[in-house]
Order: sequence, then C-alpha cells, then structure tokens
Amino acid sequence: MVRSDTLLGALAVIAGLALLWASYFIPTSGFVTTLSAQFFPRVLAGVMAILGLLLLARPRSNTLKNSLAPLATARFAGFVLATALYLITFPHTDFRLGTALFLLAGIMLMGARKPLELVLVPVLGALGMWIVFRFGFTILLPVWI
Amino acid sequence: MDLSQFAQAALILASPSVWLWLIVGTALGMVFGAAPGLTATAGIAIATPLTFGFDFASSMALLLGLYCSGYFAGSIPAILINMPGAPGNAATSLDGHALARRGKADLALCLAVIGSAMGGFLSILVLAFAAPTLSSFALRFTSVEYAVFGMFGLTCIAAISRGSLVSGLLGAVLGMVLGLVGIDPVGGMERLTFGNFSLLTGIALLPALIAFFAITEVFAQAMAGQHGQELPRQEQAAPLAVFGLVLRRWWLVLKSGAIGIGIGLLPGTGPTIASWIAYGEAARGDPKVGSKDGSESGVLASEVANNAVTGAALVPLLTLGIPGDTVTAILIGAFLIQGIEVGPLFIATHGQLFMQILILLALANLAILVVGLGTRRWLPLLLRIPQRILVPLIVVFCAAGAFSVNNMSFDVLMILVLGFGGFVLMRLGMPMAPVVLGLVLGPIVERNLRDALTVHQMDWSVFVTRPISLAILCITLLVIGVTYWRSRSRSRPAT
Repeated sequence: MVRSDTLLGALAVIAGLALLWASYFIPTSGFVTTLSAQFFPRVLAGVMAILGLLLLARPRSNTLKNSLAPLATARFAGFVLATALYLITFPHTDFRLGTALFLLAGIMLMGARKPLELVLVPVLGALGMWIVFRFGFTILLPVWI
Repeated sequence: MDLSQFAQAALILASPSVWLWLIVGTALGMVFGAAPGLTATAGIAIATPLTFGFDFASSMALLLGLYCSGYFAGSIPAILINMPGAPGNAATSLDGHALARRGKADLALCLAVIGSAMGGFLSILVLAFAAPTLSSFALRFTSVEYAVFGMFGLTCIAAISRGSLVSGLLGAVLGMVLGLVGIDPVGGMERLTFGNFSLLTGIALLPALIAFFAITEVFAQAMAGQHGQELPRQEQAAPLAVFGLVLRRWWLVLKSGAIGIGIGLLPGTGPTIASWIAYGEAARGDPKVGSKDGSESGVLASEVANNAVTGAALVPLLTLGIPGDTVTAILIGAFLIQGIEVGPLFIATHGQLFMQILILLALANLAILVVGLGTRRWLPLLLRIPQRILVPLIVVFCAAGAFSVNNMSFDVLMILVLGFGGFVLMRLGMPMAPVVLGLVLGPIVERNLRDALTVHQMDWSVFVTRPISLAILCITLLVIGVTYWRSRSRSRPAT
C-alpha cells in the first residue's frame, strides 16, 4: 500500500537532485572571499534529498489513495479549471466580465442552483469588487472600457 | 521623562483636529491592513503627502493611527477566511482561523484586538523610558548576529509543523528554495529564474502568502463541496471576560511583547519574524497551539508581538535617525515635511514633540481597542455567507489582492501555481506554515551569513567569538534541546 509520505519523499529526492543540477548553472561572481551564489542552493538541495530519503524510509501518513482520490472528482477538477482559467486570463480580460463569468461558474460548481442566486451573485459580486478596488483603494484593475 | 514637557505635549488632547485625524488614520489602517495586497506601508505611503498642510500633531495622529491599526487589521481576514492581510499576521491565521471553525471567531478577534493594543502599549513604555540605551545596543548587531538570529527563527518550525517534523522541515526547505529565486543578494547573479524576466525580483511574499494560506483553503473547501464544513454559528465573546483571559496569560503577553520589542529594535527585521518567534514560543508552552482546534495563546502571542514592533521600530528612528522598517522609513518623509530632522539630537531638541509622539501612539492603541472591539460584532457576519458563494468570492479577492501588490499579472499567475502546488503538497501531509516561514527567513539567513563571511574573510569562528552571536546560538541550541526533550517525554507511553 503506497503512502503519501512515500510520494512526498520521492518528490523531495527528485526536487533535491534537480536543484543540485540547476545550481551548476548559477553564475558565480568575481568575489572569492565569500560563499558563492551556488552554496545555499546546494546545501538546501542536500537537506531536501536527505529529508526525502527519511520520508521514504519511514512513511507514516495516510495512504496515497485516501489523500489524492478526492482530487479526481469532476466537480473539483471543474472548479480548479475555472479558477485556473480566471487567473490566467485575469490581465487580458475586463475584470467585471471575467469575474462575473467566474463567479457564475464557481458558485454553480459549488452547488448553487437558485436562479436568483445565479444572477445576483455574479453581477453584484463583480461590480461590488470592482467599485471597492477602483474607487475605494484607487487600484486600477484590468478593464476594457 | 520631563513632566513639564509631557504636560505641554498633552495639550494636543484638546485639539479636535488631532482626534479627527487619529480616528481617520485608525479607520484607514483597518481598511489597508485588512485588504489583501494592501498593507499599512502602502497606506502610510499614500497618506504621507497629504500631510503637507497639517501641523505636526495632526500629521502624526493620522500616520501613527494608520500605522498601529494597519499592523493589527491584517488579523481580521486571517481569522475569518484564513487569508492574512499582511505577512505579520500569518501566524495569527493558524490558530485564529481554527478558532473561527469552532464558532469562536469573535473570541479570536477580541484576543487580536486586545493583544495588539497590549503589544503597542508595551512598546510605548520602552520607547518612553529606554529608547537611547536600547538603540545603542541594537546598533551592535551586525550581519553575524542577524544570521544567527535568522537561524533562531527557524526553531519555530517544530512548533508549526502540525504532526510530522520531517514534513515540516521539508516545507521550510521548500520555502527557502523559493526564497532563492531572483537576483542573488550578495553577488548580484541571476538564480533559478530559468530565463523568466518576471522572476528576477524573486517571489513576492504577499502573493505567496495568499497562495499558501488562502488558495489552498479555497481548494480544500471546493474539494469538500456541498458536504464541506459549513462554519458553525459564531458565539459572541464578552470583551471583559477576554480581558480576564488575557490577564491570566500575563507571562505570555510579556514574553511576546519582549520578543516583538527586541525584534522591532533591529533595523530590517519587522513584525513577520517577531510574530512567528512569539508564536513558536507560545507553542512550546502550550501543546494546543497549532492544533486543529486552535488555541487562544497562539493568537495572543502572535498579535502582541506583531504590534509590539510598532513603538520599538520608532526607537532607532527617533534616537539615531535609522528607520527600523519600511513604515518608519516613510515616516522620515513625514518628519521632513514638518521641517524636522530625526536623529541623535531629536529627543534633546524636540522633547515636546517626542512626548506628543508617545501620547499619540498611546491614543492610537486605545483607538484600536475602541474601534476594533466596537466593529468586531459585524465582522463574523462574513462567515454567515454560504460556502458556495464565499469560496468563489475569496478567489476573486485573492486575484485582485495579488494584482494590487505590484500591478503585475505575473503575481496572479504565481498564486495559481503556488496555491495549487501547495494544496497538493498539503494533501500529501506537508504543512504550509513552515513553507512561509522558510520563505521569510531563508533570504535573511543567507544574505547575512554571506555578508558576515565576506566581512570576516571567510572566518567561520566569528559566529562564536562575538558575544551576542554566541549568546543567540546558545539560546538556539537550548531551545532545540528542550523541544526535543519535551517531544521525547510526550511520546513516551505513561507507565
């Protein structure tokens, strides 16, 4: 039975080795009387790999299936996808439009079904948030008009 | 303390404009501190140019009100929605939000308000009575001491690991690795940016905080969906009873206040380290701190230390002209607007103005108590919003908040990448708090360690030959030893 610690440990070992490899590409300055810019990444890479090996040697946590299975549901995947789309398109989309669409998708994926809720939350949420940031904090959010 | 100067300075209490600007400053600080992506520093930077037409007392009333309440207010979203408004309130979210999940958000908010005010008052006492002595002591701190001090901060990992210490340590290392990204602070070399121009400035702390605390929480709620944990009906807390609770923890308050003051005195440190170290100390004394149920002590320690920094950071500014943090650096501008130069002669030549600052700081902390306790009843109403609506709204708030930090779309992408990555790691058993601690302390330890070795020609013995450094190293080893011994004795079965 594979445990979460086993995967975490394996990831840590791989990340440690990757960091060690990446540290060789860090340029060093002309300073010779101090530690190089590669020193800390290498120390951290070593510690990360050792901690990973410790987890691999003595895995204690839940089974991997229990930890990750809930992530495979269609509803959760839909919510993550909607969030990812919203955040990736954030700088290119009108904040009010993008936010209204995301809120609509988000509350539906979270289980909202009442028609009034599906209309009011996206419209008032997007406009309210834009007004607070634009006029309250005078922060310019991306808008088309 | 010159009582005649104090009496003259107290005349500002008769000025309605001072009271007005103090209340405006406190209210603005609450908004700037609580809004993700905005901080007290941003609020003061915006407000400082507005003080051109003000007299000294009104100017300081506005800015010090904003300063003190801004440091406190980040605890409001930390407690209610697990999204610290500022890095200094990150430790508060661990136990504060756990208490909110048990229907005790009002209690956590009361503790944050009272703790913040107490921390502020303690630091005023230090500013009033020991400023010159302490600032000359703080000046003896060099990169050697800062480096070992950063290492001492890392001893908090054991306290905030929640379960597996190995996973907690791994989290801290991951945070430190994230802190490596960008321009190397000593040699100016590009590190781990993989050719990405946006990574040259490193991973900004506020978007990282939003990702590791708020976005991971959002995904956890989304995973639970309709069957997720709706927060229970929130209980009302009686402020007087909370005062009693705080007074019974007087030793924790004094200890956390001393930590906040000590760290506030050191230029370039700030409330984030102070609150984590105080939280770590609280956890060593109370096993409930950091548990799933949350503990009053965790909130109290973090908030007392966070606001104890405010008065202490003014000590090097007013006695030496050296700003202790970014806010006090901006305050130099406010002094210059008034035609006043701060430095070693400030208290001697402007004793009355110094007294005014003390009085205004005390009033600002009083205002936190009044405004904070007065408005707290309405704040938990936010938790009555159904999760199906609140969760997507938090995502929007996170995105807008991350974008506001530097007006960079890259920061919005960062919260997605770090948030989702953090959530998966959290599911695998890695706690998020050590990651944030590593991200804060890693760059401090690295920069100062390398600076120290540069100055001392790679002589590592400098860390044990300088008395302050040696003392901090001994305390660090003692804390590690005591923590290990306690964990061993706790895990040993009772006979």
